[in-house]
Amino acid sequence: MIHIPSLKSTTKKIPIQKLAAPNMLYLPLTTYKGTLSTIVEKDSYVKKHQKVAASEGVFASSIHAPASGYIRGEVNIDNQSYLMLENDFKEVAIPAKQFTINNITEDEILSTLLDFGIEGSGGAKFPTHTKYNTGSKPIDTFIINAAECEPYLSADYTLLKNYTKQLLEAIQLMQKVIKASAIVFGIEKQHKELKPLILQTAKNQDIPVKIKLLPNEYPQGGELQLIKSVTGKEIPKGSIPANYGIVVSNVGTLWAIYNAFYKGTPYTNRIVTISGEKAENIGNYEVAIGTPVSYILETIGLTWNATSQTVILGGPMMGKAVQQPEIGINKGSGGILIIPNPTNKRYNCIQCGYCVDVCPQHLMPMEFARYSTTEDILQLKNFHVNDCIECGACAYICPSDVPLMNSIFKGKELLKATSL
Amino acid sequence: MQEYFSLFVKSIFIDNMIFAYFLGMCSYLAVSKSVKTAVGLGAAVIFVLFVTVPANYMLDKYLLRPGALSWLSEEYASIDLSFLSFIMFIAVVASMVQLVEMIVEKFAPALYGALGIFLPLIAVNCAILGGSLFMQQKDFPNVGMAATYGLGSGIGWFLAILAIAAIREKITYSNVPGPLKGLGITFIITGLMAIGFMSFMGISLD
Amino acid sequence: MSLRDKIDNFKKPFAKGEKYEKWAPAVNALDTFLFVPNHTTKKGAHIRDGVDLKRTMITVVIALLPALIYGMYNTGYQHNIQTGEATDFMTCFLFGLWKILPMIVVSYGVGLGIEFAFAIYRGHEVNEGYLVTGLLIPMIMPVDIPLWMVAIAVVFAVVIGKEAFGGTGMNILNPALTARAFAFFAYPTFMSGTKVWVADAINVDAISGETILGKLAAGNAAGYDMWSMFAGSIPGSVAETSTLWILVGAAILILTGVGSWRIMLGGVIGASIMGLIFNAFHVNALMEFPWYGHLMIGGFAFGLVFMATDPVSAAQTTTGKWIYGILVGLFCIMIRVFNPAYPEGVMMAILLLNVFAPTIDHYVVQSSVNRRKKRLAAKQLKTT
Repeated sequence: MIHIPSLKSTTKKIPIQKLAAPNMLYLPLTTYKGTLSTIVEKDSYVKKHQKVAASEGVFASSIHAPASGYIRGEVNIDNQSYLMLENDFKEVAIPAKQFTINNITEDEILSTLLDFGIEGSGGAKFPTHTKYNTGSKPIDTFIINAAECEPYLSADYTLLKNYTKQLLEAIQLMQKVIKASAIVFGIEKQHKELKPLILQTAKNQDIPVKIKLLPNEYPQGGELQLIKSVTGKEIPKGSIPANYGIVVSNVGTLWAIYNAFYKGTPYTNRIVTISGEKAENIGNYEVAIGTPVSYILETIGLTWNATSQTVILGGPMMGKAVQQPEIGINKGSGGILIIPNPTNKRYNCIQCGYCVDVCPQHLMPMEFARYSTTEDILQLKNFHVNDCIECGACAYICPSDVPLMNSIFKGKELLKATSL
Repeated sequence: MQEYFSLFVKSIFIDNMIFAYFLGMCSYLAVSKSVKTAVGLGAAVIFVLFVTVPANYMLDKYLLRPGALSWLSEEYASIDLSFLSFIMFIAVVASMVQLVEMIVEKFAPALYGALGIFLPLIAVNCAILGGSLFMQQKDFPNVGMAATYGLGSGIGWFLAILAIAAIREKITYSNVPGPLKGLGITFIITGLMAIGFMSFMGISLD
Repeated sequence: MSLRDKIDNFKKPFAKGEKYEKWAPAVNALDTFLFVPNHTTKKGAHIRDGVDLKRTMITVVIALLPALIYGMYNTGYQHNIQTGEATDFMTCFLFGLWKILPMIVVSYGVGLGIEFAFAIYRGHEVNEGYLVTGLLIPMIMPVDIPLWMVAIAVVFAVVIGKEAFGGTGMNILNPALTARAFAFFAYPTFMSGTKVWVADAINVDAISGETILGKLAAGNAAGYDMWSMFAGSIPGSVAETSTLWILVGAAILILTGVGSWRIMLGGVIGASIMGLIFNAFHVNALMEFPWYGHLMIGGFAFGLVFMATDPVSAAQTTTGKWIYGILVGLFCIMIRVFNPAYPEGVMMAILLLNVFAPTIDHYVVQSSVNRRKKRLAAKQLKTT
């Protein structure tokens, strides 16, 4: 665990603004596991909120058109496929589905989550219907992940501040499925002003919630770290929290759930923080899924320039540097950050052990750097490279700027390839 | 009791087989690539030294040294068989090594494979024969002292190979200049380690 | 035209395929010595902590300065008080400066020269690591050591102790201590005895230059009160006498997180335990000397704060750092008391533990790997 300057103070004060849909949308087809297959013909006309691609199986998901227009086929950008949708700006929508919230059944909730393509908005894009399908397992804690530990990002914060009532309604609805005995909000101390607001609203709606203030440490919002901080349970990586009686849901996901059941709209919009030292008009924007990065840059008054700035999709710690400006916003991207190119110099490792001190999973990152270079798969397994949650805290702290994350990614690939 | 303790400490640190006498270097250099095999070989050396030094002490006392045979009868008191010490000592060492080899092969086949040729080569490890010859030279008063000396020397050798194996594992990823890679840098490390072990030079424990 | 542009212009003929390509590492080394260059990350953390290796090294140099400045003053003070000259701060300081500055210049000149030569030969860049080593070496030498000996010790430490292993971050022994140990064994008459610790003692009979540890080892009384020992107005190597100013440096290191407080505290604990044990026996003068006194005299504080904490040669794991620190303390006092050849034990204790640090780490790591495996196995048993 490590303290990182939060850099959220400006964006968290600005109310959510809406970004108009662009001329051409690039709907991401990559999901938690696998790829969606397009279910509409090329050059056919689709209405707003119509399902355009879907997949099958336990981790099934789908994506819907955020606007009406013509499908212009699939395109591969930076090894990920996107479905192009040309916006005709006519906003021809399919009729919104109506739900009778009071008599809704568990099955209806779960099938709607699947049908509306709702996925975890925290970054991993885990399908929400799978997460809530806890079967007969007793759930004792329902954790609302509002830690948002990545610097710059404040999308979850603004949602909680402006849509407290709506989010609590979504929580109440999901309680019908999981029937948890306690609802706990995990909020970082730096956002403690939200505490009275949530408690008051929850009291008005007669929902018993608790608030757990967490230290301002990264990666507090990591699922395993959040569970540890809130319940004290330490869960091994790769296991399902429901097996331990815990369900964790992100604020952004709950907002998508609210929109699905109370507005009848699928997951086509999300809140994105636009921020960074080189950004203009920073703030939180409601953006259509599939909006290309280049369009967002133009809207806020910037141009794509790979040499003078770095554009990051997601948070600065775990996000990806954008290589192609056409890349569309996906359901897990919480931010678009425009920052100066990082200035780092690679030195030799001096074995200071800072990376070991900060690792939230208590691993030894410098060993991964060694054994990835020599491709010593047995040692990588011995040092549990697969337990790494890729939070990047080690790379952040390293005074020698050893490319620890790259060696971890490489190590995981090596291990996957050998099936050890 | 105190002389046992001071002999023990002395044989580990002050008269360290590797850093004071540079004995047993061949297997020390060859088997120190990984800590696991180094520990195995080190343990074997401890065992062999612990057994052979007192065994050879008895041999020396009752067979080899001038007048050693006087326990048989007075007329043998003038016989001096010490010219046989090398051959006798080596015979004892070799048979002990055979024993160790059989034990290791039976109970730790993986270690047996890793040690390879160096296990039988303990027989000609100069640290082992050196232990027995130093014992002869130091002229211990009883077999207990000899056993203590054997054990201490073995532990000293064990510590040395353990430390260098850990260092060599650590520097696997170092950017050592081409000509020094492998044995070259190992010799340099040994030299630097000997500087570290000079801490004990000059200590006299009586 | 900014400095940056000037350097870029200057670098042009050294670019790949240009006339002076071979010398590029040297020029780059000079450049990165002044500026932190850029490279971009595609995946993973895109922002970095402000502390990089360069700033770490500068922090250590700053932490060394109080002890160094006091050392310069003390050099003059020890000389002048015995010759009866003025002992005001400026006179003493200037006397010390005049003595010590040449040592620092030689140490930096020779060391950086070798580093640059290796940088060109091997095509890597010069690291800032030598800034610390190069300052440490004169600080732990006796004040009257001939400059050519300093130079040779530096050559040995940098070439054999560091560059043979591949440069910064790869060495196994602390380079500054390697230099001192080399000088100690190669030129014992200049590095130990009763005549080397105060300036000019070799030439002027009236000056006695014995250290407290030397006196104790010879069976005499220390001859200084505790405050002098703590403040540092006692004979010794250039900058290692003042525990007070070393503590200031230690505070800087600990507050910035550069030096490991675990090692420092472990060392103090280890030395105190050993000192208390010896106090209980008190057979000779060294054993009778109070345990808290042992912490203040000689190079114990200096070695523990600035050399045992060198991350490259110390243990890396948290538990390892505790073990390493405690053992440094134990061995330091043990060598002081048992070994008549070395009245001062901290140099040898740290070198010895440098040798064993990888072993300590190996077993600490092994045990934590095993613990993790066991815990995982237990968890899986519970869930299935």
